Amino acid sequence: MKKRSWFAVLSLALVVALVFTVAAGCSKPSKQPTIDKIKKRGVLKVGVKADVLGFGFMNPATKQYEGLEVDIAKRIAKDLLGDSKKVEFTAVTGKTRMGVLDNGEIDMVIATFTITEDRKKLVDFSPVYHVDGIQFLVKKDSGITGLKDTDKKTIGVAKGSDTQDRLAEQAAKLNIKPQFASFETYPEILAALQSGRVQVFATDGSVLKYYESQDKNTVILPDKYSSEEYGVATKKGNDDLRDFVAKVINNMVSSGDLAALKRTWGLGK
Amino acid sequence: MFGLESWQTLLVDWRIFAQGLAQTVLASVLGLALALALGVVMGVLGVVPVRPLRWLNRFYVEFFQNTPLLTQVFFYYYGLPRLGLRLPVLAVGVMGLGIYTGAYIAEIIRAGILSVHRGQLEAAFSQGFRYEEAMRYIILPQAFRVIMPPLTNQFVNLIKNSSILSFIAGYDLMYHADVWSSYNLLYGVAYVTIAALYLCLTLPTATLARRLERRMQATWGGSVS
Amino acid sequence: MEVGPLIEFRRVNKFFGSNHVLRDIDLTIPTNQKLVIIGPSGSGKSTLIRCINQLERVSSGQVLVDGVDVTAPGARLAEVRQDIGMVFQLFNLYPHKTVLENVTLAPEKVRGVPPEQAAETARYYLKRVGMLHKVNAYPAQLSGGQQQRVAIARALAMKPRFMLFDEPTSALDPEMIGEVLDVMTGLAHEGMTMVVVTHEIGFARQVADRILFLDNGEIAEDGPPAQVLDSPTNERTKSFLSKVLH
Repeated sequence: MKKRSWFAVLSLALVVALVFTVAAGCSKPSKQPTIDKIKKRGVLKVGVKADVLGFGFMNPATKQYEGLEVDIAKRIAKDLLGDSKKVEFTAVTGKTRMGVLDNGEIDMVIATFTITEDRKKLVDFSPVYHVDGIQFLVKKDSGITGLKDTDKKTIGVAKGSDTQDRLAEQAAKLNIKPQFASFETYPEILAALQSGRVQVFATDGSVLKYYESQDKNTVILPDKYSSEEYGVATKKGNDDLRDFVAKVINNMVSSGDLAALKRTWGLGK
Repeated sequence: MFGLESWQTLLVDWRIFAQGLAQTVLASVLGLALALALGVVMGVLGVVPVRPLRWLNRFYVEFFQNTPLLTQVFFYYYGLPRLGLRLPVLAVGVMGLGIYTGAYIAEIIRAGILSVHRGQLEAAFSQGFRYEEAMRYIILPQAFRVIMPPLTNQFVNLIKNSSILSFIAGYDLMYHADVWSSYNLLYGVAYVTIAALYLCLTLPTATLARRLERRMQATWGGSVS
Repeated sequence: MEVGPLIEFRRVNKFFGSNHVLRDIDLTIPTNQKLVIIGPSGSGKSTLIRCINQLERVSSGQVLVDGVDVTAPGARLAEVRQDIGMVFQLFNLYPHKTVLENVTLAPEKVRGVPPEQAAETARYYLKRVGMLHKVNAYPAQLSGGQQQRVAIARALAMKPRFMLFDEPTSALDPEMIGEVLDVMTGLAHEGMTMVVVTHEIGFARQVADRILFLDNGEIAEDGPPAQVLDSPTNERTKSFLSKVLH
């Protein structure tokens, strides 16, 4: 019996130790200016999406990342390091983007990251570079025309997105109760839609375009349920980097470069 | 990340974690029942003197032990509906956990039965026991003593593996922690909390099983054969 | 009383792979006979006795028990075996059961005897083998001789038509052999039909009314103790006996 209780104490101690190591690692802001570190390293590390056509997409033919957000990253690299090729991309998802930013694996996240008040407490955002909105992808024969038809239906959303909260608020106003199911990746939500696990695939319209093109039996509904403002996220405490990125974005907006890029990727108004 | 504020946010949302815990316990208990039933039946099939049944045992054990649990669960979740069978997500989870763990338990049971001295089966036969009666009254109770420790490990594994439900929107502890934290980004407190909750499930399971094992040891005295 | 053989072997052959263990065995054992089988190790004694209750299947030929062909496909072995008691070299008591439970298990589960009656019967036989004081012990807590006596009680509690003993004292320390042989002798005097494989020549001489000498899978000698033990005709029997009798 004595041995057992010792073991229990040990386990508990381990958990506590874990908490404190992680806590220590998180809360200590680095003294060294981040930009100097990146310059010394000679390459900018950016987290982008790999599955969002037009924003961050791993082109299977060229094995290269492409899209608006990839181009923004290249522009930041050019302004910071003098070479747009000095970028190293890491694929992130809604769920992983925070972790890799926090543990220092990447310098910034440019991955359809919506600016919210809650998130502002945990990361720094650049000015808005794109505004998108939540839309629905449904099966053509589903008979669903919008949020009002989703009472007791299941809506598939991505983990780490704010889609569920946005939709739940509006559903409450309509006095209906849709169920939500969160998945790791977008392809899984599409699979869930196809296998009838969910009746709606809800996320930003920009994301849905690709999945609509993958399944002829699906269609994007016109209604938008939010205004999602995308920003570049940097880790809290890296003020020099945050300010630098803000300057780049503002320049891109005022020079018209951003609008031109959006036209290139078919995201124009 | 681990500030007082984070813990407060978590406490406010305690119901979400309680729901997750309930679902995890439910899936684990039902999964365990299925795994035990399948494991015992399939394990016994591994030693019966009927070759096709032994083949069935081999196929079951090798297939389900050597493919990832997640693949199996994805198949039940995404694949079966295309074949016309759309089970509720809890049933998918129980099925996935039960069938997968059952394969490991089957192997443990088979090894346990084989560890019982051959003379035991002969003694039972000589008294007029049928094969299934001999298994039930004489072989399996003895095999269970050898089986208990590895079986306990499988119970604990099953509880931990129930977290795969989070990949199929299974509303378990891991899922709720994932969804809750990936939105508000408080994943630190969330994962430490559920790690502690998983420990609350697994440690007593292991302790209870070990106590049971000790009691069996004490009553039977010496060696099995 | 019904006449006719209780156990009958008809041209029984047994192979283990290419090893010819029993060769054309023809044997008739009538009710009430005390048959002792002796012979060098590897001569097929154990295989022969195990063919009677079909713990060993025959390769060819037939074994009949009470007129029932137990070697026929689809033979109801479980039913036949209920009436055949067997005692093993390694006792094979059920280690997870107490002495009492070892004796009551089969009567209860196989014959459907009510527990109280089974316990009463068990106590009767345990008393006969001198093991009543250990009813609550587990096998692991008993000496070899004690275990074997419980094993005999376990077999008797099924009220068998006859008893098979497969080298019942071979695994025992010398000082425990006597207590087991005493029980067996008592059983023989009560008229139980017995087939015994043993190396205990003294026991054979005292108890058997017929002795088989088995050599290389064949019955080399078959007759009353005086004939087989004192004036064997077969050379192998003579040399075997000279070794075991010094």
